[in-house]
Amino acid sequence: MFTTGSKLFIGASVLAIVAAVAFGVSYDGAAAWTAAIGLISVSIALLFLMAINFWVRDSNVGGMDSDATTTSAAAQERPSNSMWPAVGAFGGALVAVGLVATPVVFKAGIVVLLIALFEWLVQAWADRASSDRRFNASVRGRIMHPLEFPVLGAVGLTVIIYSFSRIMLFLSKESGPAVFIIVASLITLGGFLFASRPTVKTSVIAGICTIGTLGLVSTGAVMAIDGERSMHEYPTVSTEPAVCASNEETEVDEKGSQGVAAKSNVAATIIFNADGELYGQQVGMGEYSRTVTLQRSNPSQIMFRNLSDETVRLTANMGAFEVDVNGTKVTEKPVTCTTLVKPDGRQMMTLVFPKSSPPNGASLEPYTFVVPGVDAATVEIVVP
Amino acid sequence: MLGLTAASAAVLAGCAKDAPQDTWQPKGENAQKIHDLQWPVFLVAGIVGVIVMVAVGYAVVRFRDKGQPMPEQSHGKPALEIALTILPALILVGVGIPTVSTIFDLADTSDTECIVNVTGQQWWWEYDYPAQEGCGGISDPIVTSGQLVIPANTNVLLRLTSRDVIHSFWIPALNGKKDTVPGRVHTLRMQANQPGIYAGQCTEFCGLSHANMKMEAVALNPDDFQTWVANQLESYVAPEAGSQAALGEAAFTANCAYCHQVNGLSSTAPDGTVTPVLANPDQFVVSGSAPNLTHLMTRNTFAGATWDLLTDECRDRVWNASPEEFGALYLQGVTAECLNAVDLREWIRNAPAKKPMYASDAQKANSGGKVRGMPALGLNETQIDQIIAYLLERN
Repeated sequence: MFTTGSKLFIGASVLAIVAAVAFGVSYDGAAAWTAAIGLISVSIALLFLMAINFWVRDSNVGGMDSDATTTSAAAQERPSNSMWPAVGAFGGALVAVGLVATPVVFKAGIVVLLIALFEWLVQAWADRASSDRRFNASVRGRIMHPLEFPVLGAVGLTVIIYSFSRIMLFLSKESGPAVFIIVASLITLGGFLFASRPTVKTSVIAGICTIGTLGLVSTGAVMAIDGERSMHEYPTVSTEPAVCASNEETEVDEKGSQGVAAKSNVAATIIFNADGELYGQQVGMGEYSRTVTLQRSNPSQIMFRNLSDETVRLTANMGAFEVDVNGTKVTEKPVTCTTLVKPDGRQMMTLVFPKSSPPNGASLEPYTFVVPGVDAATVEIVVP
Repeated sequence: MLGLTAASAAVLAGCAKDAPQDTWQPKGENAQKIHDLQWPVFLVAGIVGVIVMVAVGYAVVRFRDKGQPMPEQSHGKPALEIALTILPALILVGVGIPTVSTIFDLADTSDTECIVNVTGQQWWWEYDYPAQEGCGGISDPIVTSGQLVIPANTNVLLRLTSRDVIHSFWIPALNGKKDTVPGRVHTLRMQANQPGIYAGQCTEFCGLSHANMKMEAVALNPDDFQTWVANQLESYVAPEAGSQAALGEAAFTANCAYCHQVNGLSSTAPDGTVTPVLANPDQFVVSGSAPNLTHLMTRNTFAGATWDLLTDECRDRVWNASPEEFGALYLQGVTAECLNAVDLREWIRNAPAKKPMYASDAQKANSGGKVRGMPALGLNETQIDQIIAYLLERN
């Protein structure tokens, strides 16, 4: 008649009553009364639990209703494990933090929240497809994998590329190539080893790749926080008259690149040779010309080659123009010059002459190329 | 029937007699080199094309689905595959060798006898001749536009660039096309076998009036070219005082000289001070340039070679002249009797109405207040008459 659970509670209740009697007999005073009352209360509570257990028949569904084991909600397959509630909670946390911190975090939280809700929705829908979890998983996969794989791939690649770029920007120009040659060599070597030993377990390869990716991402994160190396684009030409008038080295000369990318399709090549002569070369115009013709209102690429033993610069004197400054006529003499070019070096500069050279232009002086400090080194620039 | 009609029309279109830009009629050794390469390539390509089409047609008809059982399926026929790989490779090598050789020949600049700088801008071409030894005795730079004048039977090297966007210079009778790119100088050989005019067209879409950006090359025999050079270097001759042309000079100075240079033109202040009139197109035009009109009437075209300065009758006389007579006729320039005053007057009256250009105030607002092309100047008919009288003396 009594169920197993109710018998357990009856026994415990009787034990509590016996203990209360024994305590009351053995001790005197308030403590004895307190203990006896407490134990009697425990026995009453245990009897109450015994009654509940007796009434629900130890929560044994089969014992109460034999059909319930197959038809009740509790009898259904539980939903598959899902990380999306946790992801959704994370998104909610981002939204909350973003509200008080920064809009970027808020927007990221919204995105995470929406993704989590959508994923959870689809997973819940797929879990109801059948009682077969594997089939349900395949249903979900058919719907979501075409979306998830490209997105995850893109995100993964972005993280890797971004980490890679942070590392490259952190390393110095000198150490960067060395580091990446070593890393690339290690990757190639690892690939070769794996290819030569096809018996290596997939889990080992996956583990190494995971460690490598984590290393790359964590290093990238650290270097992103630390910041990029100091980078500055230094000019290769100057329009400062003081710089262009001398061969003294300035910061522009010290920092300017000596490398020239464009070597073809230049408007003219100006050469300073070992005899201290300056001459121009233009396609079809002979080897040694003291005059070069440049088209007006057009960017002309000029290459300067220094074949002398000195370090010099090429300066273009771009005329002299009378301009009105607050009612006073002032003569302006625009100049452009290369940085100092070492022996056997070359440098480019781009010139634009919006006005014709004299006599059909407004300039008071002819346009010329000169090498500062070498009086005889002059090439006239004709701009029709 | 419709397809047959369209095909016939396409074929017959190739039979046009008046086709000055026909790529199959070379008139210079550079164009001849291209021609000597293109016809065998077309021949080979045509034969291959016909063979392929016949083979495909045969396969389509012969092996069409007639309910027959699926034939035996086999994988690969090495002999056939190797043959079909080697044969096209051999054809390509056969085409490639003369092609590369021709490319190198056309890029050669070592035999240059004459240099011309060519600058493209929306929508006309400027030609400037640097001072150089030989080449008709060009002792000072010459600047002109519309018509590229060169000595016949002379290796001329064009140094091409652009002031605004990419254009492409192409006179099919004399050579292939070459892009003109801002900041870069490209070279193009030019040689004409005999005196005459050779038409061309910008072949890189360059904006609103790309279709109106034409060009003409004029080849003169060396003596005539020398005469042309000497004429271009002649000093400015002011109009006779009190004449219609003199009034035109004043009108030109007041309205046109902001952009158009006329070498030697000067103005005299009330105190007698003489000041050269220097154009400043860089302040008004996007490209920073406008045609130099010093010797406008020595050329036969204006507005980017879009219109003739000659009447139809005079133009036909020049274009159809024999090589022996051509030089003398061309050097006559534009006379009052031969002037195509109708188009010139319309142009001066309202240029944007005649040739699409970005010249209105609204359009200028999008380009820093500068025009692309020539704006309407708002001149009255009297001023136009005076300016035309003045320009008629720019020969």
